[in-house]
Amino acid sequence: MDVDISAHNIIADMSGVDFLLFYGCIITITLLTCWKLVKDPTKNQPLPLIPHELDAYEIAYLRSGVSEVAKVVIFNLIQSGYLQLTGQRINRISNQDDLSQLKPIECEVVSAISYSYEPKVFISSISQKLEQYCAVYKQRLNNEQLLYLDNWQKSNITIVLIGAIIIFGLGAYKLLLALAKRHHNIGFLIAMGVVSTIFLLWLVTKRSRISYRGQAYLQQLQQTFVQLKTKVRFAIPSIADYSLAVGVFGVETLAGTSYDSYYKLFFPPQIARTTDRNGSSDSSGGGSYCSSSSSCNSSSSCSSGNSCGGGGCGGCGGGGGD
Amino acid sequence: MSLLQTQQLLARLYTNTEFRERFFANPQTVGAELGLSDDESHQLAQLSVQDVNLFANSLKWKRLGEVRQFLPRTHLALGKNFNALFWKYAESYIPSGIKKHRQDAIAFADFIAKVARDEGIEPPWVGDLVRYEQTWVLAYQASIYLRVCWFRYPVHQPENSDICIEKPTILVWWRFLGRPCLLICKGRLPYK
Amino acid sequence: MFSHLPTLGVGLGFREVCKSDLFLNRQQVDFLEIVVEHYLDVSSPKQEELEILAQHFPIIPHGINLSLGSAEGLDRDYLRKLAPLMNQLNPPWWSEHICFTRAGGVDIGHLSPLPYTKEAVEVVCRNIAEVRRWFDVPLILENITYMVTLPGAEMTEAQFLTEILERSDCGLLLDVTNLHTNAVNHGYDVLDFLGELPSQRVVQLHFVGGHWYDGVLIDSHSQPTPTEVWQLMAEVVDRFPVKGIVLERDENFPPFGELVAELQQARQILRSHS
Repeated sequence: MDVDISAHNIIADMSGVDFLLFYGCIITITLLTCWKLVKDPTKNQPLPLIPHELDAYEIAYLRSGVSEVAKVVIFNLIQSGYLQLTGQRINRISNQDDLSQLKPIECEVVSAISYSYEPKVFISSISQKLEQYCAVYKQRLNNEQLLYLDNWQKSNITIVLIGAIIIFGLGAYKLLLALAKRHHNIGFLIAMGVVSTIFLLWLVTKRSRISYRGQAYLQQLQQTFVQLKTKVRFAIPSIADYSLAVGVFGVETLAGTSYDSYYKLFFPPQIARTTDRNGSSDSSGGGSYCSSSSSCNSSSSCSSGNSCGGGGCGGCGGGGGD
Repeated sequence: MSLLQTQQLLARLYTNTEFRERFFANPQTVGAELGLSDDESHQLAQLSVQDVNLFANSLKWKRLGEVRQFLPRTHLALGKNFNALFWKYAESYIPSGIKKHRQDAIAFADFIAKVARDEGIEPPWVGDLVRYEQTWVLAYQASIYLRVCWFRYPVHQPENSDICIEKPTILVWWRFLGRPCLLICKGRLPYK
Repeated sequence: MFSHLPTLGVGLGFREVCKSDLFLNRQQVDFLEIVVEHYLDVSSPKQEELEILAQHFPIIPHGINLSLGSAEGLDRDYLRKLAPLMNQLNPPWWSEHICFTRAGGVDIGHLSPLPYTKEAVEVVCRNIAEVRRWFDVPLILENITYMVTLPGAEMTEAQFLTEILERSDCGLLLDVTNLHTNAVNHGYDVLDFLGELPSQRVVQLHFVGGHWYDGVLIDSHSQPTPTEVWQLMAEVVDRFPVKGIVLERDENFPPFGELVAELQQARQILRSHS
């Protein structure tokens, strides 16, 4: 059946190639505009100051949400003698009934443990209940714009929809005209539409839980308290030190400490990774042969250096020594 | 004698053992070599030999203390030999500049590696260990860095008994603006 | 003449190893003193560290390698790197030492004493004038310990310091540990020394403990502050309008609580004499 669409306008009258070029420019401009507008408004904001009193639970919530808070809570309760580890399970210590010293979230966890549980199973079951206790952390973090706010996502969706309407509208119009004129060389037009759709979908779904500001703040906390990782392994940390270390860095920081067994509940030995000074991955190159002497191949370019190590102005260190 | 000359002489006295010994053994002769008058040499000879030696030693101890922080595992592995090797090395190179302690550590690591290669020192893996620690120092120095090294021993592992077992390893350091990272590739010994 | 400078209180020489504990005990530390060389020519993690510190504490930069006493002049390359750091931090003052650290192409590696001569005064003042052409932040100068007594002195150490301070219009960073160490090792009276200092120019103090080696007291910055230094600090604070006191521990770090205790003791001395 012929459809007579007698449309005469600049777009309808464009030849195929000309239109594809024009369409490509429109897509590029639209996608760039959407990309510019769909952004985290906290990108260049200054960071909040590190508070005098740090809340390990709030930091854990920022890092990874309710399940991480639950891990820190359970760990603190083990430290303070309300819970204990028996093999692969946690259970309540029977003679600890006085919960008056505990925070509400801690009371909730203790009360929920009626017999022995596997931690991962327990955390999944209790996470929903703990949401209400984490609401205060969520609010505080939202006030500081450390979490990605829901209304930013709504505005992103609106922007992407507008972009999609522009791209689809124009493409669909030309597609209909082409089909009406029985032109079937429309593959490129469809491909451009599909690719730009994928890009728009990616723009709107790429959001993370934490805003740029939140990520930068978390990184700042981890840089500032990095010595806690050494302290919990090699020094005599306090309960607060342990708690903060787990809040800031996660349960992984307990590897090799007195609480190594708690770490292993979440990271069983068969999937433990080899790490080095600043993190590395271990990849085996099996079957390779090597020369009998060690040698180095290097390509490096040195520019600005880094300063580390101790030493102030004084202290000759004297003629002392062994 | 001008302050400029005095300072130049003092700097050599503080940092060069051989020069210091020669000067205090014969201040007039050494002073004359430097263009000083007899009076000037005599004045400087009033410096307390004991005090100057104490200060000179303290400078080396200070360097040693700084270098130890950059090469802690090598220090642990070598024990007292670390200090003895440093004393031998310290006369041959005086670092300078803002990053002098870092440069000192790198140069001393080269010295240890050379001695380990040429003279063989215990433990046998210390040459690999010092190269490993040296590479970390170098990696932190540059903002863009890539280095691939072969090691006969698994020196990347924390201290344990396995470090003395030959286990050839390739280590790759890379850094792009952030902190340096390490990739470990292990191989097997050739079948004999 | 330095009365317009802010009173900062009691601070700590920042050492990276104490960073976590420092932030866990922020309220105990009024300000930080940073070693300038640790932040020159550094990569972004170290720059970020300095920014974090500057956001949370007043910062006083403390140089150790400018070699203000070098007769051959200053290292312009060093000044070129130092100036932007000063502009970035905009501190109320900064400090360096009355010493030299290099000569004739040799980097001595430590603070070395100057002869107490008019020529040395001239050299230091000339170098300070050059520094001021690069940036104009109030400068205070620190007294150092010395193992070697240089011959040809034309004045006492106190007179030498005073002459430099007054001619260059700088403040004094009086290291009471260094003063005590020199008095012990070279046998002079600290009160006589204090009596010769220009009272209105004492801006900041340093304190810490050293150790004995072979009959010589070494300012190793590695021990708790001894009683004599506490007493000397009380005497100094009683005489001079000090704006800040810094604990300068460099090694052999105890649990942070012990450093906090020393800061509190210094704070008590400052309060009781102000």
